[in-house]
Amino acid sequence: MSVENAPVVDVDEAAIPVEKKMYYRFESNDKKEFRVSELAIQQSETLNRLVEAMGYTSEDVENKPAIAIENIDGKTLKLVFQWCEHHKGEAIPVDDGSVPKIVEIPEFDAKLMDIDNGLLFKLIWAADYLNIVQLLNVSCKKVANMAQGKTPAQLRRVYLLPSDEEDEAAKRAAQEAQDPRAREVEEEFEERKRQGGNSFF
Amino acid sequence: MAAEVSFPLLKLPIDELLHAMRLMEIIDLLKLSFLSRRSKNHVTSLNLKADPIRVHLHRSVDIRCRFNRVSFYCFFKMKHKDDVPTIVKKPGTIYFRDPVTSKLYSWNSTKYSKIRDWLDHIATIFHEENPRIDFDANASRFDFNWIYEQFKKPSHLYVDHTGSAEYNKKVLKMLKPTEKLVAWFDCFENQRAPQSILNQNLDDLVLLCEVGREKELFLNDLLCCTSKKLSLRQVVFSQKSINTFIKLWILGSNPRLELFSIKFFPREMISYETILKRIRFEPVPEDRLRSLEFYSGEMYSMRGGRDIWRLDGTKATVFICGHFPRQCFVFSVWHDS
Repeated sequence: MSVENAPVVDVDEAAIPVEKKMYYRFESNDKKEFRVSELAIQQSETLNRLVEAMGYTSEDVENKPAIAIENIDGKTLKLVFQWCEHHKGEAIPVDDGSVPKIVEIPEFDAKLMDIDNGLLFKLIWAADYLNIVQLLNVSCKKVANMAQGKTPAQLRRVYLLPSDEEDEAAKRAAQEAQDPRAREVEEEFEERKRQGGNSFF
Repeated sequence: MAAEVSFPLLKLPIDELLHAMRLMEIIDLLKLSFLSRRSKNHVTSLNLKADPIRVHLHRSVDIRCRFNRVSFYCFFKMKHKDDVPTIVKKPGTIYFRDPVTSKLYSWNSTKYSKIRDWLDHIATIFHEENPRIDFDANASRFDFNWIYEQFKKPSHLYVDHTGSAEYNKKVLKMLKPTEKLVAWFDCFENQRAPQSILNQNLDDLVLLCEVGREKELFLNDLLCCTSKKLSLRQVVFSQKSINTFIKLWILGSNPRLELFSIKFFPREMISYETILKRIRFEPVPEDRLRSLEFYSGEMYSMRGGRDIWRLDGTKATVFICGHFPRQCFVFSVWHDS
């Protein structure tokens, strides 16, 4: 099934199946609203617990405001709910602790994740936040696959990995930004060292 | 050429980062570990355990790692000159091959100037506290002092004939392992296990012979053995000697011994009647299973056997397994029973 044909999202009333099923309304931090089936929500441990605790009836869903998911934007949430609808009813995998963990990326998921890496980054974050185990697995697997066949030097570029020197420079810069006096003190210390002084104080 | 796609891996929150790393192939994690201290620390925090890591000295020096599903090895380039003992002067570059695709990779570090540095890196990220040092055929080409400086006091040592009797002797004398020794009889002087090896108080001693070139272990040599585990493979040790050994064990010999096994092709079928002749024993029901850990670290379930008791009350069980001519004698002491 292609992403375009996937059920869900930005819901249009006509798209709702005729049979009486429970749907919930969610709102992203940029005020986009989504209507998601109860079965799809079960893929997310966080949302599942939330709706259980709320104990909404079908009327409540319509009459009360949509449930706000304040730290995920609409574009990301759309992908999340498309994924949940496509995989609704599937068993949630249990982590057996093996490394490397064996995860296959199904065709639907591969197409869904044919996105820029900024959005992939947000998708991973959202999958973890909403505790959607298999979505986290496949999205992280896509990141892990980027390493395959790469030389260490290529890997540094692919994952934008700083060298030790760059890490240290960033750490120093962060410290200095926190304490504007730090640089002055360090310069004074270096100057005294150059002059052959044994003690700073 | 398509532009290289990039992803800011280390910007992921720590849980997601470690989740993504757990999905990477072992060889990719090795590459990642070389790139910075931070990435090395992340790989280390995955708690991956190699089983085992070995430094293998033969025509070259390799560091070999094995995991459940994959094994791979890292190596260093060197130039051999005839008659001149070899050292790997500044192994600044390490080479390693993807076990699946066979693609060769290399990594250069100015921080690592010795093979020991590379070994420590790999042993750290793959949580192997006791890398094994293996001396294989042709290892005598390496300068012994150079080897000793890097690998002195190994916990586990494996010694095959290195190509020089003098070199074998030096290895066994100077590089005494603290825990486990696996040695081929061929590397001993006069092809007899020296007492200095047998009474090293090792946890585990394994003595091997090639099929068709069996050597004898004398009863007196066995009585000197102070290892907790002793395994003999293709070593001649007669049924009469086994019987005498058991009688002496009952009287108090080999007090540290926990597991003694002999796997061999005897000239005659071994039987409980012969090896327990004039020894009081109690048969163990055949449906009773007991787990034993052998020299390879693997656990085996043993059925039945014959229980015997030392004068101080310690119990042991004698097992004969397999069928003639592939029989195995196992002697297990139950110190905690």
